[in-house]
Amino acid sequence: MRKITFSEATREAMAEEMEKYPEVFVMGEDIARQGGIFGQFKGLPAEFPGRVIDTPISETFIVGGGVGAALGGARPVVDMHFADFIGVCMDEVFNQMAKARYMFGGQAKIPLVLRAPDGLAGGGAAQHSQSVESWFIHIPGIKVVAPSNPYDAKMVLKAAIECDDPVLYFENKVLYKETGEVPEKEDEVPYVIGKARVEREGKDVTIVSYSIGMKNARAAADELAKDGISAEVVDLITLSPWDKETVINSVKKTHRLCLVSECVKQGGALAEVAATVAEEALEYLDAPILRYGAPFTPIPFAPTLEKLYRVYPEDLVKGIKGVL
Amino acid sequence: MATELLMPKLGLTMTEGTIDEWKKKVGEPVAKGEIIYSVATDKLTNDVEADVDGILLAIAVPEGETVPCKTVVGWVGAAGEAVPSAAAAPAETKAATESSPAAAVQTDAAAGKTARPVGQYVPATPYAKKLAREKGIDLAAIPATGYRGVVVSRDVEGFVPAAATAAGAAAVKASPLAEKVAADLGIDLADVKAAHGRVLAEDLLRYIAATREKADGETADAREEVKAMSGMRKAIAKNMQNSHMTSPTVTFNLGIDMTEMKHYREQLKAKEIKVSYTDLLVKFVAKALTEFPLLNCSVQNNKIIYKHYVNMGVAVALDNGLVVPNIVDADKKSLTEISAEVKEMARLAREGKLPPEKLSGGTFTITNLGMYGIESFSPIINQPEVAILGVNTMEDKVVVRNGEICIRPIMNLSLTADHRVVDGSVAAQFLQRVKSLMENPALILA
Repeated sequence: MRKITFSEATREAMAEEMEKYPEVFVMGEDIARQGGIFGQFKGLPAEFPGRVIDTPISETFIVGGGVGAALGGARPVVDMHFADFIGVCMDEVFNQMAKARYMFGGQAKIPLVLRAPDGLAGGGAAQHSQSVESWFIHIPGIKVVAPSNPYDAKMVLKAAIECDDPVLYFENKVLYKETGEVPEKEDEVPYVIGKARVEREGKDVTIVSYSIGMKNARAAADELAKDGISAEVVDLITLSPWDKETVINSVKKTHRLCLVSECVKQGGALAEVAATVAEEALEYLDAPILRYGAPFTPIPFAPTLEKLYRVYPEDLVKGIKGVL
Repeated sequence: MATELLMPKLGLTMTEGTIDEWKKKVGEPVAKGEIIYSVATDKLTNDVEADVDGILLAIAVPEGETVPCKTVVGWVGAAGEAVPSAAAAPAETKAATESSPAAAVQTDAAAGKTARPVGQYVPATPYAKKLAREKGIDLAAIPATGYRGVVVSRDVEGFVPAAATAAGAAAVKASPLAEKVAADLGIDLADVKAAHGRVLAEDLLRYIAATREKADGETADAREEVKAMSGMRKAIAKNMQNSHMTSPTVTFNLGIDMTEMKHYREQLKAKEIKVSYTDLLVKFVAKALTEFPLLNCSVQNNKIIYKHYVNMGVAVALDNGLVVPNIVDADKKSLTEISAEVKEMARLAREGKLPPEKLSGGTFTITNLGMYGIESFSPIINQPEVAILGVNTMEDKVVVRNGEICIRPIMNLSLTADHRVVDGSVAAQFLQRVKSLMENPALILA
């Protein structure tokens, strides 16, 4: 099968959707002239003249304008440049984008995709490296997705664009460069927002993650396998609404749960998973729920400190072995 | 030798207590007279002072746990001194939060070997607990091999109960109440199957019921005979027990001078109207009831249901039991109607042909034991009524009337009333009104 990068996969998704729906357009900072800071929009402006729009540096406008366009019948994809910048347009996101459909009694829809590159990028420091997904899973009215590989990146983005509700699409900056198998268009299987995937079956522990955290999950599972410990790896893909059923079924099978993400552990996106499993499947747990995430501190700039800030597969391996 | 710290018995009725707070941490020095932990009962919280100097070596019962009196809750001793049981494990591991798997295994091995003190909390994963519950295994009996000395599922799955003989009657976990009841009845708790880990009073009751069932129809003593209750007997037993447990009752006795009533009855007889004293009582008491609605009500969910009609129940003794058919609207019926109906009911009752509707809906009951010479008794209320009138024998007695000694036929009435709604003064006034009516029969027309 052909292999392409995560970044190319998202570009492909964009091109295919723009081809299919004339009402799809993109706007953001430096995307038309520069092709996106991570190259994820490269070539699109030439392919779809007038539908890839550079905006002034105003997140408030970018999202506000996107919401207005969506209300007017377009399917905008708006780019945040860095997920860290969503704070600027927070009212547009959580009061307008998330609430419009509800406030208009269902007479309006917001088929908008908010693309938000996130994560540690090596020296990005405290304001350009964050993973802020947990803020948004607390907001009813927004769907939150965070794919972990090129194929999912493409299929999830296509599903997000076709979705009539606002979708916040977190794409990890490190993952952009990663390559992975992506089938030809005719062999693609559409993604259904809200579905998790059991990426690897196992019987001793369930490791749940998403986005870049999946790298830790997979590496830990490989490491554990060497010692005969079989880990089931679940990729949540959608963080809100998340696939409770898949996770709980897996826990019922393995009786142990390990959660890993790159975001700050306190109040992290997977805290909701931990709480729900404790609420609804406590009697199936044969070990405390393990959670791995970043420490409760701003992300340091110094490479040595940034290294300390990260979660590593060995952390998971050690923790899981400790509760077996 | 480490000194045991016990759950104190603070008073005669205390059977178990809860560790409210440990004022000292494991490893902290303790001076004689210092408060070391506090204990909560359902009534109060008490501080427990150390009676030796030393170091708090281990805590066996964590805060919030409830254990029977005299259970070891911890140990005080010299630094480094060994604690007599694996109970130290949970406290120890609390200090070492992230113990390496290897270290954990060591503590677990130790924990696994020694039986835990009775009543001690057994750290176990929810899944292990679920499995143990399903298999009916007492968690305390299972050696732990899990992280931090916790019982995990594999411990339950791989658990083979030690031959019951090995430890003799191994300490069976039971609630204090179950222990007491079992001791009183001489039941071996090991025979009782616990539904949820430890034997509770309800398990014991189930066991007793099952044993009784088994014993049905057999008795060790050849001079005894066991017979199943008839349906009627079962119903009476159930109703009487229910009534006794539902209503707090008071019984009031009052003598009635029956001179006038006797005279009245004879006058009727002279006119070929034959009525019994029971018939007369139905008529006169029904009238009094219309004036005392509290005696003619029933109680339901903290509400009083007043009944603006009198359905007078009349207890009819049968060879094998008792039924109480009632005279509907007795307050509105003539004496002859009442008399005819009482006779008919009694006949139907003896023939076992009473229609069921005649047996329910009563508002008050009269029960007459006068024919047996009974002078006073305390009848049990026919639920959901709130009062019942016992009728006693009529006997000539020497009484004083107008300063002179004379002989009068006196009949005692015994009124049992439910004090939830019928206070003493109301019951007394009602009885007084019945007396007044019966001593002055002409009032029935008033």
